[in-house]
Amino acid sequence: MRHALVTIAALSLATAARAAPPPADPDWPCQQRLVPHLAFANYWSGPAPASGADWHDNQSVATLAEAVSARDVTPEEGVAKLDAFVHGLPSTERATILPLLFTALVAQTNEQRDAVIARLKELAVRQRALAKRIEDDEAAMQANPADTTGPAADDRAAIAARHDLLVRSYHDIGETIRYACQVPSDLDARLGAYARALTGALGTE
Amino acid sequence: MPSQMNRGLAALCCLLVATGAARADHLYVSNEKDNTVTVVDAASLAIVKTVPVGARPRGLLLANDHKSIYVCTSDADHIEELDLATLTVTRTLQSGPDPETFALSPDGKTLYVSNEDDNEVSIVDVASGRISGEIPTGVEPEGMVVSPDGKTIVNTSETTSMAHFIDAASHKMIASVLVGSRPRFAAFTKDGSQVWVSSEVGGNVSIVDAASHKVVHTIAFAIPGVPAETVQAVGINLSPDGKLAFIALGPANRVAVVDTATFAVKKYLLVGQRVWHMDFSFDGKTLYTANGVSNDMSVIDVGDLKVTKSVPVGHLPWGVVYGP
Repeated sequence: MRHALVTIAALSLATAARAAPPPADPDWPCQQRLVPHLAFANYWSGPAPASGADWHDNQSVATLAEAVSARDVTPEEGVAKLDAFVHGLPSTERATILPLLFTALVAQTNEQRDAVIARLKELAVRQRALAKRIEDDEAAMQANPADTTGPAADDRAAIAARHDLLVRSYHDIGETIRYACQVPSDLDARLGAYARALTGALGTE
Repeated sequence: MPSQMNRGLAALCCLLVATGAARADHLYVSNEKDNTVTVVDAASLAIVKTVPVGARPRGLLLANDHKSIYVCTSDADHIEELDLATLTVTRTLQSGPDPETFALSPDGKTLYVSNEDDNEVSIVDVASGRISGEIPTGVEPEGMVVSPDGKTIVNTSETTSMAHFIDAASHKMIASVLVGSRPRFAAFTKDGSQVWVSSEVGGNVSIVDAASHKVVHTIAFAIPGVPAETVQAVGINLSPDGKLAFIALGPANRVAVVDTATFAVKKYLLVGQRVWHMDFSFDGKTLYTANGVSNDMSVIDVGDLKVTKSVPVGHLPWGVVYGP
């Protein structure tokens, strides 16, 4: 039990030490600063899409954007598909189609990121609630000495068993958060690779 | 990230080398995730070697004799010295906990290291590799810089959003100046008259008069179409001629080019993603950036103000330094 208490205390301290600065959004659990949405201009140095053009209206663009924006598509796989698309495109259409395609890629990537960010915030809320329950159990155990006897001892054992489970859940969720925090950044990196591939094809890099 | 004084010595060294056998220069990039330093040939931009170092390498500095670089290995809680002849880590120096950024005195004998976790600046004697003193400073110290004359240390405090001016001889705090939110990096102008302080959350740069300790100007950045929250000012490099300042703007994926006389932004250069820190070539004609999300180093032609190349390096590149 002492081990569990020390572990959770150490975990809390480590989290506090690394969580700099205080995030603007209290439900954002990641060390990386939250960038809520990715924008076209963060990546693109080529021509802008034609005024009023909507990527949803171009079936081949919409299909490709969806195909390369799924979470499990690696940057290399995605760039290969983009390259193939560019290769099949008449050079006269590149300056209009590729900015439109990148608009679609930004939208699709934001959709993926939004889902991950929402999930991370849910986990952060759960983690906070768990931490509160663990603290409450620890306070209850401290109020009820380990050498107590009778019904109080049974109560204490029940609290201790529940506390162990809560600590385990806290650790598991912490691991999930640690892994998931990298996902928005990975999606950002992949979108950047797509931007470089497309602007390279435009010859504007 | 070397000081202006180091830059002067670098130029002298470059001149001396030029009179002897031709010798290629290199870029050294710290890869925060890989625990490595990537060594890139400056002429061909090919990777020469990837050197394993301690956990979470971030800040880099070139030693004054140009024989080694110092690496802040943050999670290893020490500084490592990477020998440039053998490209191996030859010794470790004390640093205090979680070293991230540091500065070298103009004589090359002392390192000042910000210790974010215990609100102190550690003074490290380079010769012995041991901490010779500690200076209590603001909460979560971050940026570190030494004045060109070596008499003043400036340390930024993330939580209190201040730049602390410290007398290098007495270790006494001279002044604390309120700057933008979450100040990350500080740089002295070559003449020592100003300190430029970048603010990550504020997304701006405060120009502090080094004599009066007053903010004389604040440079804001606005890039059409780019969300303001992605404009996070971090690294600052002033050109060797002092006429231009280059400000890394993090996830805005831009480097702002600022006229140091008027403080006007001349241009925003699209570089790799999450640009952290930068360094000039010895001749000042090229600027290199470490880009933490796109895992590459951008190469900027300073004369043309154009990005000419992207060089893939390791994962989460953070710092870059130019050296022999």
